[in-house]
Amino acid sequence: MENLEALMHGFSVAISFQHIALMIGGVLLGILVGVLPGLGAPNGVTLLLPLTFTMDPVSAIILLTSTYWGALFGGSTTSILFNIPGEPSSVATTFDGHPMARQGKATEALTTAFLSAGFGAFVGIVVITLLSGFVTSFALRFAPPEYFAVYFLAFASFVAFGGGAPMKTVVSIVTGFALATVGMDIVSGGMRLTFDMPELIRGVSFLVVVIGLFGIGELLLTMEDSLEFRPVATTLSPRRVLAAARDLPRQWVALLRSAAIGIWMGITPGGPTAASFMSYGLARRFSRNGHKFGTGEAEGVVSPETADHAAGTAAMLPMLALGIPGSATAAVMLGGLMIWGLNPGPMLFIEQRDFVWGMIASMYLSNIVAVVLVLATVPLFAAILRLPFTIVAPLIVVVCTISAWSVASAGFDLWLMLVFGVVGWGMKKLDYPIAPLVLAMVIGDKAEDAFRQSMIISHGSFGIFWANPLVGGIATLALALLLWPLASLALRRLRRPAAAG
Amino acid sequence: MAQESGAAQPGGDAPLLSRLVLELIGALVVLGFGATVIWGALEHEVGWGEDGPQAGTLPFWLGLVAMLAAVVIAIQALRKSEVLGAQVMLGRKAAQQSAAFLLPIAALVALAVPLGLYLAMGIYLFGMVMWHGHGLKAAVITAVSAILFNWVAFEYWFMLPLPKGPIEAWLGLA
Repeated sequence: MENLEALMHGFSVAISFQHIALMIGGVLLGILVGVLPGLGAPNGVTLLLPLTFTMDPVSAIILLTSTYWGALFGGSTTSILFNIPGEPSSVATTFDGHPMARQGKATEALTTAFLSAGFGAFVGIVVITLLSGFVTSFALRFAPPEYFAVYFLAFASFVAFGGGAPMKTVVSIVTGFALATVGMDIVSGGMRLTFDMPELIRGVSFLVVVIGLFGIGELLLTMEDSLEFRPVATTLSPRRVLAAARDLPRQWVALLRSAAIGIWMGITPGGPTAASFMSYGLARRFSRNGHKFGTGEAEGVVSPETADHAAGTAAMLPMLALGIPGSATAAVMLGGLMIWGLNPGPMLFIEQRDFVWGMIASMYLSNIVAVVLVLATVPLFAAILRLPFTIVAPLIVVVCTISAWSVASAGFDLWLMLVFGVVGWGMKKLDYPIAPLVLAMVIGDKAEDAFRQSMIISHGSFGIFWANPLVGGIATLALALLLWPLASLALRRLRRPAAAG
Repeated sequence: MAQESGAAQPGGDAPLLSRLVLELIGALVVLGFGATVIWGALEHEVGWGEDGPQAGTLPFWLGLVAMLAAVVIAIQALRKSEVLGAQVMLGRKAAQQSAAFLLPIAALVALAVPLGLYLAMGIYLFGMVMWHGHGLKAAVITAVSAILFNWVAFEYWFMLPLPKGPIEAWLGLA
């Protein structure tokens, strides 16, 4: 009941003319960002972040989260209509969504996708609402060792669940950490990794890196293939939208299963992309219609979409409660939180009740706004994709350049953006995961501080990470996850000769 | 869609880089990055003091881990060299298209500060649209509307001035 009261308070914070206007604006910008290939949710949120520096935190987070939902929805639109995923997380939606559209069922595919996505998001927010009260109960027990253990857990779970080659995940994390150490060291006051370059004294901004990696890098990849849009008819008739909506409850098994997968992948840092693929894969395996997947099955649209959005929303909980983002976009928002002067972590739920509950309440509203807007604007955004990509791509480059400048008004940052564009291209080509790098850049400093503070408290003894059940449990779990790839490799090696003999 | 583009190469494109070569280049870059980080870390104390790690400790170990990971990645790639060597990651035409897209961005970045970002983006957009054969009208409309929109948005709405150059000074706008 306490949560319900807090949520009602949140609604009283979130519902105002200005906030609703920000939601609508954010969702529309998000859909645009999601629709355009080359601009994704992490990048869209990054591009808006400098504009929020002067806003109050509640307005700022409403704008950014609304953009995020909009981007997730927009990505599905292009997957279904054009077979071009506007977002990596909507790749799985193309498998059955586009065949449906080809068969003349574009309306049904879009309606099914948006409503199941809305359902996934709703379940995600309900889970956040229910668990938030629980977070405050252990907030006061968090000291530097606990914080470090939690950061360590986040990285360990990236290595274990991230899906990439473990060594490449390690490279990604280490690179992010190293970039985070550039500049002034707060403990000793020394200049680290600046190589006597004055531009490096203020450090490397993660925003510029994200703009390069996700924005320019993605465009470079897109430029390799000559993009051919093969659009299908894009008029939506309200009657068919309603009919598709009435059919959706029949998919309740897929809806619930996918929402559960999404929430799990969002809270552990698997992220929406991994969630949507996993959900699609499981649906194909366990569904009665599994053999028909890939030919335009509605369940093949429901499963990835529900999981995608459930993961996207659920990723907000560890971001707020522990300072661990469950997705690259959440990592960027976490950076925003710190810039607005908020300290993510369990204490946030006690010290910044207005912010936390205002944000949670706004998530209920903005997802409803997003479902309505995305259905209403499908023809408009489909028309944008009829513009030649050779005009759209340079415009995206200009947007990226302006944003990179607006972070710190430095010409040096533009060159950094360019370099990280090439790096992002290479990382995507070779399947180095990018999200861990962003995560490490955002929380690298905090993790190092927490570690060094713990070491100062304990006079250099690692025993402090097993000093009480809370920190010991987290640290042990993290170590187990870190060793998981090694253990599973060893198991496979052991089993193989046994199977042969 | 990023991951997918590498798998299916459009037919008729002459191969330029195999996955093996690209993996090795990647490992080499990581190796160099790790070495640079270690070099930078050695300017500070890298040991373990009375009060735990010092300023250089973390970067030192990060650099070391990066270098080790690079070696492992290179070995893994070499052990699968036949499979990876046959995978074409980058065709000649694809490389040209990417380079033709990247170099103008470099020009935009280089011109942004001396000329001002507004003029630089105008030149860049005009050039790109003309070069892709959309005609003079489309090029002028794209460039001018981008400049006007961004001017209003950034100088007035967001109050976040972008860099200006000699043209703005001459017009008395800077």
